[in-house]
Amino acid sequence: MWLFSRFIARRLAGERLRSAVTALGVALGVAVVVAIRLANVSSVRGFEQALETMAGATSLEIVGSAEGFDERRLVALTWLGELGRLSPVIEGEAMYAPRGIAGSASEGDDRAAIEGGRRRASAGEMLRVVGIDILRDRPFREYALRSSGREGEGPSAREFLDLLRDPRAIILTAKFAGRHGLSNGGRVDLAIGDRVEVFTVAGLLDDVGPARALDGGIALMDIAAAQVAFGKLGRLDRLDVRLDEPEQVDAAEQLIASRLPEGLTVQRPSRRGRQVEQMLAAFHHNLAALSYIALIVGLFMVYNTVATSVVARRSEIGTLRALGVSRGRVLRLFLGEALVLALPASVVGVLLGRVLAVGAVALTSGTVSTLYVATGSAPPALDWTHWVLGLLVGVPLSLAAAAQPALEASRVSPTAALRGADRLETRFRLRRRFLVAPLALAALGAWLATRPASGNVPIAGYAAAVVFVFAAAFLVPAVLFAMARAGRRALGFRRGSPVPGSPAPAHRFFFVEGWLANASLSGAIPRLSISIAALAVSLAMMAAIAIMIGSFRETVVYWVGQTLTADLFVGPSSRSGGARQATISEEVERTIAAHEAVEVIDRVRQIPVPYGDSQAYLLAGDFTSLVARGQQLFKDPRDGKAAIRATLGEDVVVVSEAFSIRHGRGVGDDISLATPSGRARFRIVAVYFDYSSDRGVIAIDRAVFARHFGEARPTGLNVYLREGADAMAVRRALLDTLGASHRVFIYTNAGLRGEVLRIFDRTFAITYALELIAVVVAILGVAATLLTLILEREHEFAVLRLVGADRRQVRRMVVWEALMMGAVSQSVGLVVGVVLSLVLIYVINVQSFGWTIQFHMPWWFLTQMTLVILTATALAGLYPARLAARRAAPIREE
Amino acid sequence: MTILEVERVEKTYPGGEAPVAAVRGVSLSVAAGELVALMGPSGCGKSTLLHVCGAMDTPTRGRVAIEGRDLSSLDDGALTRVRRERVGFVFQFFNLLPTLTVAENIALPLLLSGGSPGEALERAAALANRVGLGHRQRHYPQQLSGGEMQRTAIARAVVHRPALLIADEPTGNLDSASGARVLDLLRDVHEETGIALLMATHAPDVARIASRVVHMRDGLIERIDAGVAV
Amino acid sequence: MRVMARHRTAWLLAGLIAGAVPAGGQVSSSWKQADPSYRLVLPRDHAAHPEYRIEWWYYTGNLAAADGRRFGYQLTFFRVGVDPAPSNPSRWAVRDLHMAHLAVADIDGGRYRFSDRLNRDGPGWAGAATDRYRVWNELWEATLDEAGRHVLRARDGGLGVDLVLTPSKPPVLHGDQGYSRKGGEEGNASHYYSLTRMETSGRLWMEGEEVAVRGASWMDHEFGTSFLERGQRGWDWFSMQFEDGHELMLFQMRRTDATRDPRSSGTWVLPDGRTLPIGADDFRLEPLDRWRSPESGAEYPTRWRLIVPRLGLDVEARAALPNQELRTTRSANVTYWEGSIDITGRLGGRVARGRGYLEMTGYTGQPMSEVFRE
Repeated sequence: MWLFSRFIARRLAGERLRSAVTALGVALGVAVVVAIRLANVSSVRGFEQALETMAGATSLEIVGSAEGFDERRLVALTWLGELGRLSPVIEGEAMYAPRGIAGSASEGDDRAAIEGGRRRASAGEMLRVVGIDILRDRPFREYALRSSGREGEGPSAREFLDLLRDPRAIILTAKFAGRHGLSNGGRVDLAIGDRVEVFTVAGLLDDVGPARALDGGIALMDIAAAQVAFGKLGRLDRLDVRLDEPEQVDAAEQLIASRLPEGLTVQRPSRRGRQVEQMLAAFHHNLAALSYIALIVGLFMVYNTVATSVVARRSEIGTLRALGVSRGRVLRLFLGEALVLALPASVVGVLLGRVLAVGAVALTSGTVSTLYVATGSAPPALDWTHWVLGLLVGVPLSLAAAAQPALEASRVSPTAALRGADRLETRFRLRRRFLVAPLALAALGAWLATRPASGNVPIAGYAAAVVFVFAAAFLVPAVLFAMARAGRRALGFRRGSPVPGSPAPAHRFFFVEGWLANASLSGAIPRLSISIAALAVSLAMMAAIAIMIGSFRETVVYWVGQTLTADLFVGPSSRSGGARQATISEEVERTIAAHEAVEVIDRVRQIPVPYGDSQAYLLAGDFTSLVARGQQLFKDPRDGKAAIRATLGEDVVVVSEAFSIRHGRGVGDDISLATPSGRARFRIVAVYFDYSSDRGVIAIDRAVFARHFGEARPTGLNVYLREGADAMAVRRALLDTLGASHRVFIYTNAGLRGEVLRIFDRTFAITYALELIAVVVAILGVAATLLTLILEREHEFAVLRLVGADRRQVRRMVVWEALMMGAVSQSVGLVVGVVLSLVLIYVINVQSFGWTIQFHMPWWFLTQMTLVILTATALAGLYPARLAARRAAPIREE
Repeated sequence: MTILEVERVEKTYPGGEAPVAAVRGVSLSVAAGELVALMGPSGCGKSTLLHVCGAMDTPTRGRVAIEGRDLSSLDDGALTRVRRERVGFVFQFFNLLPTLTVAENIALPLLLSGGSPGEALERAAALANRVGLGHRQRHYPQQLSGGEMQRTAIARAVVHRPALLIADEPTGNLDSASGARVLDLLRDVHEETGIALLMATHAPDVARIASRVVHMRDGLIERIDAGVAV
Repeated sequence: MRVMARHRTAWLLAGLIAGAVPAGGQVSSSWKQADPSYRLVLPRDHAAHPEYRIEWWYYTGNLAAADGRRFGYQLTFFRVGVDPAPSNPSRWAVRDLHMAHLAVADIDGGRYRFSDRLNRDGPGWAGAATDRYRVWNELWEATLDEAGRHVLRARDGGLGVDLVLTPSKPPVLHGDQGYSRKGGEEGNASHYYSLTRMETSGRLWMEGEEVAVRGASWMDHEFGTSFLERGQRGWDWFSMQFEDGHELMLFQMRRTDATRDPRSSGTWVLPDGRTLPIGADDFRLEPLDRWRSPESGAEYPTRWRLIVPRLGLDVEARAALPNQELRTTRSANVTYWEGSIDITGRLGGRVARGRGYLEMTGYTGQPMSEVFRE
């Protein structure tokens, strides 16, 4: 310990800045991992917690199809009453829509209205409305009705029912009411589907039981009122079962499963949570994988720090060894250095992670809500698991990163001290292993890239990416060597021999400082390789992701351009707030159909359905219209329309590519779906390209849908206008007519394309943010490396000053060095980035999301990125440069 | 013509208990074509005096002028320019840049002054030949012997045709054969170019090539002997 | 003589009705009023009368196991109209509320257990058929079988009854041919009859133990729309089955001012089925011992002396178990004492013994008159 405090701690303290930068790198890496963990957990846990609090004492639930089940089937389920209590439930989504912000939909131009529509949607908080029969529900859930008049036990079921019996009565949470200034007995306007309905606040719930869920975004209605409000007359979403003997849940589940009639399923309430988890798994895995990049970069920094510390102190180590310090002790000394850096860094990283999580949640919750499931928007509090995670990824990995240089330190022989200052290192030579290792790794990566996914997690794909990253890292020394040579040549020094009278063209640009920088970089290749590799790796990732996203975006743009053919798209505004089941009312449909410019309306119903252990979308549309007007791009068979035309009216479906890949079902296969009247089988006749949802879409003809699932309102309308009609004008006219009574959004074709891309860009905002952090960490690494080099090269600077270099020249030389490191990193990064992007596009993406993406180079972005990186690295060199210039006095002779 | 003029120069370093006076009032002048040897035991102030004379350090008191220009009135930039245009240095530990080849090391002062690389390297090549390293110019310093390194350093010190060459123990780190060869080279360069040469050394036979031998002790000039070379 | 209908349950419904009636009390207009010209016909009128607002079927009985262990039971089905024509087409829209109470007393074992159900019709989870006699609430039900026997089934976990009841005497129509005036106003009346002695056999469950039992039951069925009374604190109601074949139904209504309501009354049933009305001035009723419920805090008289001089009746009625208090705070929020009693004393100079049921209300909570307020 004494030795450690003298030998390592003093040095770390002495080089405070460099230690701090390294620790910051690790801290950021840990922080990003923790932040993404928190953000991922928040979306799933938010849903699960809501589920849990809302499930109350429910042991099991009986569910039917995505459209619920016919309530008359309950009569045949009376036997369930022998096992426990039963409570039927209707769930619906409503959007808080106070008067006063209605009607603005018709103002302004198209673009502004789209924006306006979005603003309203975000201003209007979503409410999850639970329709219950309070007479049955009491044993299930606890409701603390505020000032119910009775002390202690709260209102009886009977009193509760009286509050709710009015079809307009709704009970809100006190939290929600407080948030929006609503009071008991007052009115509250809610948008359900596209209608705004006025309810009376019949009571307020204190923060107990289900009222705790979703930050109070919960409302209670009577089951009868809820059936009407949500258009579910005659249907139930589920039947909750509270077993008399809750501990016998396994046996009861089996018993019920064996006795339930066709089309009904018994499950634990947590199953819905697992489905959501499954559904989000790919999204989360990708974020988690990305979050580790910053950490890897941080670990490179630890390696670098310890390695330079070892190299710089060879003679000291030799002295220690000569004085009888054992190899093990030397090893521990340098591992200790890593520990001293990593431990506080990890702690700071966990705390920082919590801060970053707020941003990560902000960036992801929009995506999760838009694409997957409405969820809370606050990250959960840190608990011990996050500390464990932070310390487990931070500390042991840092030690592992330090292991190699520490081992090297332990191998320093005692005679190293006697050889004196071996400043003149052996010059770097290109050895075969510098090419063999990366080539072998690249081959391994290529092989891994062809492995199939395990489950829906592309483990092999991630492994391939990691292997390519390491290949890139190992390739860096060779690249640096090549660059040093090329640089020298470009600067006019061919094999060291001058060419009289012919200055190299590059010279005028680089000046002598650039040439010196190049020379000194080539003299420090082993040392520089690590930090350049770290930067190159993070830049490769960035480039890869940019290429992937760019390609994806181009593909989506193409797909949208091909397939969005209707002139107007109508949907209930509450959908933009996350309501999955919001429907278009008949009035709205009639109003639109009545407009003179409207030629055809395609009614579309898209609802989430459980499929396997996950969820998919069931899309009911008019296949006749699809055959006539649709522009879907089919994957299999190419002429999907013909296949559809040939099977019109049959029990067939068309599935999206994502569905096909995710569930391994192709043309000719059967899929089984739960319908309100039991399970039904449908044959897949075509697979089409679709980028709207990674969970997959099952498209079915409306008539077939109605036959199996019953009639149901559409969730959207695709409107085709007559030749020559002005879509914008029609849209405005329709919004004027629908006015304040309805809440719909209407996109023109162009508007919807814009919206699609907006959602697309928002989805990937987090990806860029993560990458940016990794790059920042890497640039910090470059700065740290430069600092180290400068401290070691004071003598060299002194010589330069001696032979006539002024401070400015020293400064410039260091900036050039930084810039060159950036340039090498970026070049390696770009090349490896392309390789990685191929892995991302053709392996990982296909395996986790099931999308075919056309490769596309985002040249403009890559150019910008290159400029930014060069600037950033040059800037990162500024401080070290200044330090070098300041320190470089022209004498230093021992 | 007087190249270097030193008048009552004192140099005091801030020390622990009391400041250390390394040079305590030295006056000296070196004219063009002169070779002045500085001798004395370790710690006598030779090196400090050389640093002050070579515009590497500023005196605490007194005046140093190179070719009539008073160094005390110059800022860091001007001092740098003086060094890189008018002064050349040779040190005991060679002080070559390990990342540059022999030719490049030699050319460095010219390049730093903004000279064209072609010309600089051409001259460097000529000088490399002159110091007997024509075949070594593409080599890196660590591939050279000590004597070769010092010869490279000498070439670098005169590549920009300075008026004053300052050498601090140029043979101190060499075996006697190499040392003798280096001394011969220094003398030859001195004679060929007429450069003023101020050299600190322990080697007693240096006197055989010096115009004057200045003996220093405890920061003061003890005595000045006329050299053999006169 | 117009015997006041048995009001024993009217108060129970008070809470339900108070909530069901919109402010202004206009609801009765859309419900049918009791009609003096209506003639009760059995078994037709066992079935439900949904056009009236309030209806109940009430079974109580004293039973014994083969080994002589004694049990009492109560199974009651209530239907309370809430909105005769709900605007909401949903099956879950509340037209009627159905409430059911089940209680079993293990008299020798000193145990008393009860349970209740409260439901709307929904898709048929609770209801009362109109075409034949069948009332049910979830899995609890009372029906008439082909032989004219009443079949009762109700279970909740380890508690339950599964009984067959055979009427051994003709029905007793209370009031004027079953038209029973309730108040001063025309129409404040109900249709009301009782089956005062029904041979009973079957099984019951007490804390999971199944016991085969036999004994005698009593059934009431009453329906009407408005028969609420004001100023009442509660009731003490007795049904007695004497070993010599007589039965007595008798109640007193206690007013808020602690006096007995003049409408307190009873019916004396002779072994051959003929009836004698008993007016408020015809009997004296005296509470003796009291028992305090640790749950509700209410103090119930558990020993009474009843003297009907006209009949030469002087008996003591004693609760077979002190704790037979039924509480439904979570569902309909009513609390009352309803339990098996033992009767000993003299009738016309001879020793008289019997069993019966006693219901005591208004000993806890707010005065009924306040609950009644419309």
